[in-house]
Amino acid sequence: MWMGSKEHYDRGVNTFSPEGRIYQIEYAIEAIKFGSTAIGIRTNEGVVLGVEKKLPSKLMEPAKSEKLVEIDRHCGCAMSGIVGDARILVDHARVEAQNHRFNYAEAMSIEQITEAVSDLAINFGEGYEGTKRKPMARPYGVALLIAGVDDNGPQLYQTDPSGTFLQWQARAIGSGGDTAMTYIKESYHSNMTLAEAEKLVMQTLKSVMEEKIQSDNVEISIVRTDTKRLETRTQEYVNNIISTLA
Amino acid sequence: MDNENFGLAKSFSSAPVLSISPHTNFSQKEQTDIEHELNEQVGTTGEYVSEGFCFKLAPGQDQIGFMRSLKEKAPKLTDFAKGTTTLAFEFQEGVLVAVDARATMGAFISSNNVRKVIEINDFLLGTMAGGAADCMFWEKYVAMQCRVYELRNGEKPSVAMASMMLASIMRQYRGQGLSMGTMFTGSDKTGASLYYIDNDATRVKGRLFAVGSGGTFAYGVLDTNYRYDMSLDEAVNLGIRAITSATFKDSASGGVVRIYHVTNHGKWNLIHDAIDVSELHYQFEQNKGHTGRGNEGKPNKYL
Amino acid sequence: MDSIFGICGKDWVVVACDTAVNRSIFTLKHDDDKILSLNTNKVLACSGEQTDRYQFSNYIQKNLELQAYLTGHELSIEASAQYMRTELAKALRKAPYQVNCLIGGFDHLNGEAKLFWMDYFGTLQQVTKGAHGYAGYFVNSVLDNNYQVNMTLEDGINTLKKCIVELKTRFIMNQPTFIGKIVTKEGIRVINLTE
Repeated sequence: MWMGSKEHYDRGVNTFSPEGRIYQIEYAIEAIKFGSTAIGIRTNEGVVLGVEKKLPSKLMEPAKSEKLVEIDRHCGCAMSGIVGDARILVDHARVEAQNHRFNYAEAMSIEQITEAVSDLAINFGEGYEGTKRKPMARPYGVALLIAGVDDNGPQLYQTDPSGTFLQWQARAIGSGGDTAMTYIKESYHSNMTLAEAEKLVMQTLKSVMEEKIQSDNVEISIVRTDTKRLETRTQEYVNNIISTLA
Repeated sequence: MDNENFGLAKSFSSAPVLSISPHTNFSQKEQTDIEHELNEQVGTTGEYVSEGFCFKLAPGQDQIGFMRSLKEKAPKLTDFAKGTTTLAFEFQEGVLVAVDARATMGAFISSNNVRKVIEINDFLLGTMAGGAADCMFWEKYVAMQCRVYELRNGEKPSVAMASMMLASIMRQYRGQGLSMGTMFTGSDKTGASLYYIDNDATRVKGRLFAVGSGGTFAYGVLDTNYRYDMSLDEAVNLGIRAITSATFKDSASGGVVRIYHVTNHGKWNLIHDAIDVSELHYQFEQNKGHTGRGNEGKPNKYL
Repeated sequence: MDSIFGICGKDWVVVACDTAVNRSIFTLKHDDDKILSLNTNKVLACSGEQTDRYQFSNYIQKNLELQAYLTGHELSIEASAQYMRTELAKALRKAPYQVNCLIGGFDHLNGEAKLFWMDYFGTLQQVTKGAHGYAGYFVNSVLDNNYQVNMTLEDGINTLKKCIVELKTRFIMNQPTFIGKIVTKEGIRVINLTE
C-alpha cells in the first residue's frame, strides 16, 4: 500500500522516515529560505557581517540592529529565518560567553560559541529526562552566521536548525542566499582587504535585494583582527559604500 | 541565565554539578548516602544532567542549622579575618573610595599590599571587607550579570540595580556562611552613587560609610571634616588622612592607602595606588611640629 | 532597636519612627524613612533588620498594587492588615521576616481612620495607639495618659512629640531625628517631629 511518504513521518519532531530523514528539521531549514538575506565574509584583516532589513511598510520604524547583534565584544551574529527563535539562541550564546569570561577570565572562542548555540538548537523535542528546563517543542527555524576574532584569528561559522555548524570563508543565507553565494564565489579571494569585503557584501546585497539598497535597509558590522572588537558601521559609512557600488 | 533566575546564584554555567563539587572526607558509606541525596536534589539519573552551577551545600535540608552547629563545633573554621579599614563618601564631584592594604591571619600580618578595591567593571567599584573570596567572587558575578543585562537591553544597568543584584544574592545565601561587607559604588546616568551591602543582605544608600575594624577611627576623622561641597583634592586628602589615622590606632589595618574616584560621568579613576601609611604618619605629625614618635607633652622620665 | 509608635483619632492617624539604621556598633544612616506609603491612604511602619523591613514592606506594597490591578478594587485598611498578617504567619515557619509593624490608614468608605499593631509572630490587633520594641517601654504610658477619644490631630502630634522627649531623656539609644506620617482624608503628609 502506497502512502504519500511525508504524510506520516512529518508529524513528530523525533520520527525518522524510512529514507532516514527527519522532515520537521528539513521544514525548519526551509523557513530560513524565506528569511531576509544575511552575508558574512572572512578576510585576514577581520570579518564582515551584513544583513538586509526588510521594511514591509513605510510607516514602520527601521529597528536598530534587529538582525545583526552583539554576542560579546569580540563576536557578532547575523540571522535569517524566524527572528523570535534567533533571540533565544542569541541570548543563550551571550550568557554562555559571559559565563566563560566569568569562569576562565578569557574570551570564549568563536567555535565554542557556535557549539553552544548548536547544542541548544538540537535540544528540541521532549528534552532530557530529569532536566527542569522545558526544551523547545520544535526545531528553531533560524540560521545564524556567527563571526568574530579569537586566538585563532578571524572566523566565520554558520549554524542551522539541525544543530550542524560549518566554518566558511564566505557565506550567504536567507532568501537570496543561493544567488548571493554564486555572486560571492566569483569575486572572493583569500587575501581580500576588509574594505573590499565590506564592498563585496554590499554589492552582493544590492544584487539580491528586491528593494533599492539604502542606508536604512541594510546594516553591516565588522570585527577587526587587530582590535578584536565588534564595530557597527554608521549610516554615513554605509551610504559612502553604496555610492561606490556598480 | 534564564530570565526567571536572573540575578539569582542558582544557574551558573553548563558544567555538570557533580564534577564541580569538592571532594568530601566522609566515610565510604556516608559518601554514598550523601551522593544519593545529592543526586535526588539535582535529579541525576546517572546521566549528564545539569541545571547549571550551584554551590555544594552542606548535606541535608537545613543549611542554616548546619552552619550554626558548625560554628559551635569548629568556631575557627568560619572565622574570617575582618581586620580592615575601608571608606567611601559622596561629594560634589562623585564618590571617593579609600582603603588600607593589610591582610591579617590572627596576630600575623600576612600582607601589607592587598588590593581591597575590586574593579568590578568600568563603571562599578566595590570594596573588600570580610571574606576576600566572597567579595571577589560575588562582585565579579555581578559584573557578569551587568554585562548580560547590557547585551540584552542595549544599555548599562543603573548602580541601584547592580547593587540590588548583589543584595539579592546575599539574601539568598543568608545565614549560610558568606562573609562580606562592601561599599558598592559606581556611576550611571544619574551620576555617582554609593551603597553599603553586607552578608545579612543589608543594603543602604548613603553619603558616607566606613567598614571594618578601623571603621570607627575613620568615621571620627571623616565626620569632623566632611563637607559635601569639597573639591576633589580636598576629598582625596580627607580620604588619605582618615585611612592613615585608622591604621595608626587599629592594629589590623595598615600598609598603604589606595584612593579611587568615581566620577559623575560614568567611570572611575585610580588616584593613588600605594602611599605608605607609616611615611604619611610622620609627615602629618611633622606638619604639626611633632616628631611622630608620640612623646610630645609627656614628662621627661617617660621619654 | 528601632522606635516606632503611632496614635489614631476619629479621622486621622499618625505614625512616627526614628530614622537611624544601626549595624553592630555603627549608625550607618541617619535619614532612613522606615514608614512606607503603601498608597495614598495607607502607611506601613516597620521595625527590625533593614533587609527584612525592606523586603517585607516592598513585597506587601507590590502585591497590594497587583491585587488592585487584578480586581479593580483596593483593599480596605483592615483587609490589608489581615493580608499582611497572613503573609507574616506564612513566612514564620519557613524564613521569618523579623519585622514588627504598625499599619495606619484612612478608610474612605466610612470616613474612619484606623491603626493596627502587628508583631513578627503575626499577632494583629486594632489599636488606638501603639508602640514596638524598647521604645514601647517608655512611650506606652505617655500614649495611655495622653490619649482621649475625639482628640484632634494637633493633640495627637503633640502626644507623639511628648513621646520623643521621653525617649530622648531616658532611652540609651542615640536617635536624634524622628519623622511622622499623617494619614487623613486628604492623603498622606510627612512631618518632621524633631524640634
